[in-house]
This record gives sequence, C-alpha cells and structure tokens, in this order.
Amino acid sequence: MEEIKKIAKQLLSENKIQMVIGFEKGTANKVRPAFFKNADDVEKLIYNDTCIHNLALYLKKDICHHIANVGIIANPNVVRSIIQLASENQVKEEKITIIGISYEGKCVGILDFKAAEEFAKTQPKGLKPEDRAFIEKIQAMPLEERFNYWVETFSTCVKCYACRASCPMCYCGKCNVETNNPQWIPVASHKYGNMEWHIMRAMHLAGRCINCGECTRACPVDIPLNMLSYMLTDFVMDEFHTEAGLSTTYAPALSSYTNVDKENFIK
Amino acid sequence: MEILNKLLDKTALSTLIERFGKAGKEVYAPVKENGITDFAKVDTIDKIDFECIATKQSAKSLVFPRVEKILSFEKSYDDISVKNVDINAFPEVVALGSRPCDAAGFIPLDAIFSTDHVDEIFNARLKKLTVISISCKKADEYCFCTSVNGNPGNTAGSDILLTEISDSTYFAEIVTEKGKAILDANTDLFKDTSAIDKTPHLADVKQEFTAEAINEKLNNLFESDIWDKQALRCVGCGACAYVCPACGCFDIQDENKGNKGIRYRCWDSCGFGLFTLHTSGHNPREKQSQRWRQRIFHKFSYQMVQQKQFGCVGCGRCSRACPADMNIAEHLKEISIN
Amino acid sequence: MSEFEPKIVAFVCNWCTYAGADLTGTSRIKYSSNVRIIRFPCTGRIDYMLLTKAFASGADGIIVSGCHPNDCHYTSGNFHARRRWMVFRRLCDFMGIDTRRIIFSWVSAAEGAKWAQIVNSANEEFKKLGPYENYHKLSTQEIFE
Repeated sequence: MEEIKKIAKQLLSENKIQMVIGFEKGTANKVRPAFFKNADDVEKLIYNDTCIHNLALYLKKDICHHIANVGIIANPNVVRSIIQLASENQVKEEKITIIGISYEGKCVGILDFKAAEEFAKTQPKGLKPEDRAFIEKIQAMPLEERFNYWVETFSTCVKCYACRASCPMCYCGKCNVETNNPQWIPVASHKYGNMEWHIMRAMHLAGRCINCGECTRACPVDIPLNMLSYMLTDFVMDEFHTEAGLSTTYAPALSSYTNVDKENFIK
Repeated sequence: MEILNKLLDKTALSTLIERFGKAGKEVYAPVKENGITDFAKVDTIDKIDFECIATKQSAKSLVFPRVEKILSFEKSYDDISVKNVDINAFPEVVALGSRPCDAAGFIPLDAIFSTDHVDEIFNARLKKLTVISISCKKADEYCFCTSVNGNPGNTAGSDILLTEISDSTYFAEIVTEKGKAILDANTDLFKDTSAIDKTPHLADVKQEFTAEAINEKLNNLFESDIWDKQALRCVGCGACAYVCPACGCFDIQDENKGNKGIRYRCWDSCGFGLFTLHTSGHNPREKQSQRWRQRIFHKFSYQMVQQKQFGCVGCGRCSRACPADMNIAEHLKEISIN
Repeated sequence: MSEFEPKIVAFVCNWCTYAGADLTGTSRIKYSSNVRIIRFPCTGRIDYMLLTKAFASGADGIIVSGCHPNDCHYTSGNFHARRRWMVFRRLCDFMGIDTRRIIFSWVSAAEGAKWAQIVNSANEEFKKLGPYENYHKLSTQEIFE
C-alpha cells in the first residue's frame, strides 16, 4: 500500500497525472471508490483485498472527461477492463496511467498498455470453481426447470439498472433498453420485462465481459446475473478461442468471424 | 386517538397471524430467503425474520407496487373499451414486523399521492393496510432515523407498535383506529398495562444532524460545488430510489398484445438520466451531480414546501444498497455543517 | 378438436431465402401454410431480440434463414449472423428457452424445394412440441391476469 501511495504521490506532484482513482475508507468496514487530485489527499488512499470495485467504470464517466491524464489503481479486473475498453476505442493510452496491482495485492508499478497486456496474461483467468459448479448445476436441470429457475430468479429484479451502471463495458450513451419508439424492452420490472432485459444484457456482453462480477456485487437483490455472461465468456473461449480484456487489438467475438465457424446446427 | 397501552405475549403473534388468515387478510412480514430479508407473504410465524435490522427493500411495495395495472383496454373493430382496475378488489393487508422507519415511510408516500390529486389506487391500498411494527432493538452504522425526526420506538405511521420488553412479551401501543379494530377483535390476546418506558429496550441511534438544519442549509446550496463533490462516485443506478420507503416517482407505460392491453405504472428514479430527458434531446439534469442534488432537494426542501413533510425516514436502505457506498447520512451531515 | 397448428415465424434474408421461397411458389411446390415470412435485408440484420419477441407474440416456432456462407449479398452478414446465433442458442439453452423451436438454415435463391422441405419438417417438429406455452404465458400473464 505504501508503494502505491508513493507512486501516486509522485505522479501527482510531478503533474504527470491530475487525478488518481483509488479507494478510501467507506462506511464501517467497507471501502469505496475515491478520487484524489493532489498529493496530500493520497494519504487517505487505501488498498486491501476488499477493494474489488471495478474502477475502470469511472474512466467513461463525466469525472474523467476534462482531465489530461488519469491515474488508476488497477487490480487485474481493472487492467483487463481498460484493455477491453481500449480495444473498443473507448480510452486512449496517453490519457491513462495504470498503477497495476496483482491479484495477490502486490503493486507492480506503472503499466503502459503493452505491459498491461502482458500483466493481464499472467493473472488468473477463467471461471472460479464455485462459478463453474453453479453453471454446471443449472445446465444439469431439465429444460423447463431451467426456464422456471431463471424466471423466478429474475422476478425479484427491480430494474434499477445497477448492473448496467456498474459495468465498465456498458458505456453506451443510449442503452438499447431506453429505445422507446416503439418500446423495445418493457419498462416494467415484471417477469417478462426482466427476462427480456437480462437476455439483452447478456448478449451485449457476450465476448466482451471480463468476468469481474461487478454486476452481481452491485445488484441490490443479489441476482446471480453475472453467471449468464460468465457462461458466455466460457463458451466464446471454447468456440472461438478468444477472450476479452487481454489484447488492445482484440476483435470482439460477436463483431468478427471466421469462415470456418461451426455450423452443425444450421440446416 | 389517544394511544392505548397493552401487553402482548410473543406466542400470541402466531394466533394473530392465524386469525388474520381466517379473516381473509394477507400478512406480509420480513422473510429471509437466499440470504436476503424482504417482505413476503407469510402464514406462520416460523418464517418471519425478527432479527433483521432493516429489510433490503422497504415495505412501500405493499401500497405502491413495483408494477401496478391501472387500467386495461381492448380495441374492437369500431370501439375501444377501457376498464379501470377494480380498487375494491384489493386485499386487506397486514404488514407485520415492519420497523418504525418503514411505518413512517408511509406518511411522506401518502403525502406524495394525496397532495393536489388524490390517487385512488394508492389510497385504496393504504386504506386496506394495517401496520404492526416492532421497535428496533438493534441499529447499524447506516441507521439515522433520529436525525430526521424519527426514533427506534417511533409510533408514527404504525397502527400498532410492539416493543420487546422481555423474552416473552411485547409492549403494544395501539396507535390508530385500525389498530384498535385489531385489539377489539382479539381482546383475549392483549392484556392491560400502564404506560411503560420503552427507552431501555430500544436501539441507540445517535443524532448527527437535524432535518430542519438540512432544510435551512439547502436554501443557499443549489449552486454549490458540494453536489459535484458528493456525487463523484455515484454510478447513476436507481437502487437508492427503489429501496427507499419514501420515494414515490413512477413511470406510466402501455403494453399490449394484439387488441388487448394494459396501462401500468412502475417505479422510476430521479437518478436515471432518462428521467428528465426531453423529446427535443435537451436534458435539464444532464449530470449525475444534478440528479443527486435533486434527490436531496426533493426530500429535504421541495417536499417540505409542498407537503409539509420530509421525504426521508432515516432507514439507511439507500446507503446499504449503493454499489459505490454513497452514504446518505454522511453526505447529509456534511451538508448540515457546510 | 382439430389438430394443433403451430404458428411459425420465418425471418429470412431478402437476397437468398426470400427469393428461394418465391421460387417455391412459382415452382408450384406445396408446403405448410403455417409459416409467416418476414423479410429482412440480411441475416446480419436479424436481431436476437426479434426471436424472443416472436415467441412473446405467440409464435410456437421460428425459422431463421439466409444465404449460404460466401454468398452473402453484403459479403459477411451471414458470417456475423452465424456467430450471433451460436452464442444466442447457447444463452437460450442456458436460460431454458427451447432451442428446438428455433431452426436455422441456409436456403439460396435456387433452392425452392429445400425451403419447402425446411418449412414442412419444421412444421412437423413444432407440431410434436406443441404450443410454446411457457414463453407465451411469461409474456402475457401481466396483461391478462
């Protein structure tokens, strides 16, 4: 933590960056995202293993718009999000300074995009065993039970869109769910409206999700909606052998193709 | 009505639930399911989670559901028939085990739905709702009811307020006529007592500021940069408004299949950019900080002017639900000393 | 009671399958009349949400059809579509939406007979599966209950 602070302070005092996105103490034992604009503030910066928020989210918010260079305390999830955002032309290398932190909480110093790619490759990837077990449990259900499981699970969704708001990849200025002429996805959080919203959400993140789990963490009613995109990430990996968030030249699975893609399901 | 003081055995609660069921009343109480405690329909006392400090979502959906049909329509060749929802068909509902802040939340909600225009549907539901609250023995770091004119043993909004005075007994305060009706129908369960000092049995919630002070401060804060500062980490979701017991904003939508359809109202949140977006493309609340300012101003200024009522009961649900840990009490305190 | 006749919605591309279906007609090949054909510029334009909308609007089965690989009028529309369908099928399967009710095919402008065969076999298949009550119920319960 001292090392992170030292780097952040130095960057700020040399005016190489004008703001650092990191964490500070939150309510009770929680931490929360914080924005430090001068070196003295950095004293308040903390980093521990509860700092799981995906800070890359803020790179696309108003707060970073007029800042020449933003420093960001980046755990592997944040690094992968930034790489993915870069591959989608959403962030510019010259505007971001990544202060990398490994999954063990070790500071790895300042990373440029090239180093960030290398770093991301060395960090644990793919599904955690408990997530895989969850997905396999669902897949083992008979069709109808599976359907009812999701309908019931999504029935508690209140459509606060915290999942969307906390996802770094959901940066669209106008979300498809806001298309209202005609109304594309029902506004109401009834069972049908919820089902449609979650199908749409999962599809839009297919091959782009970097499995950070922010959506589920943000969900006020704890819906395991990340499992949809996790499952698709896994599928994309199996089928197309690509994974989001590892290369700034990544072509998202759903906006690229090869002429040998499987088509055993097409008559 | 003057408050009547009674004693109620804890075991009598299950009898009470049974009798409500027989009388055709639906009982909603905090139930823990998949790790989350929320209001759900119960028919026995076993399912009720009495330990929960505050349910994840408030009890407001009992009178202001997430999605609610207001009329249905059907088009035929040369005619359109419109049918209002039958407000007489709403069930009698008992909210059992809600907290005093939940109960207090019905007051600003009622003010929203009954100022200027009296909303029939809301009022029909409210009329059929009986609130039996239980005082708080415990509070957490998010609770701030005492700062907004509430307290862990507040009777406002409840029809009956129960306070646990021993392992086996509740001290019951019968607050309203609705509460008295329950007392009258169950006289065998309630015992007489003189007034009891509840304070030793209540949680200690420290008062950090006063709602009046916030109200006063807001007069000069509209253009302040405090909003930008506070809203920095806000991600712009609607979780705070949706779990709030006093937020009453809604959207009206039509949905149809073929020639039949419904008009419904569903929750909306001032935290969304779309909330104020004009057809022209102009958005008077373009930035998240402006939406955050609106949230605080509405609760502590506008509602006071229009409805003589603060729109916050200090339950702290918004802070608990916030993915970015926007702690409203902390922000309000900052405003109060600004 | 008469036999169950499934409602089939076919999303087809303008350049191949629609022309193919046209050929079926001009060749006077008889095929199931349960199908309602919706013409799109390209399979690449067929949003997956349209498929769920079709189910929600009462379809019991869906056919999605376009140009054979390498034959796309816009070069790559069907390649993109193919990937999207793979992923969408997987998601549907995971969420318990019946993928047997969504049939994908390549039908060129010259394959009038194939189109008839696709529709007929789809019709038989959907007849066996019966009405898609699960999804219909989901999408209508809020309105009619």
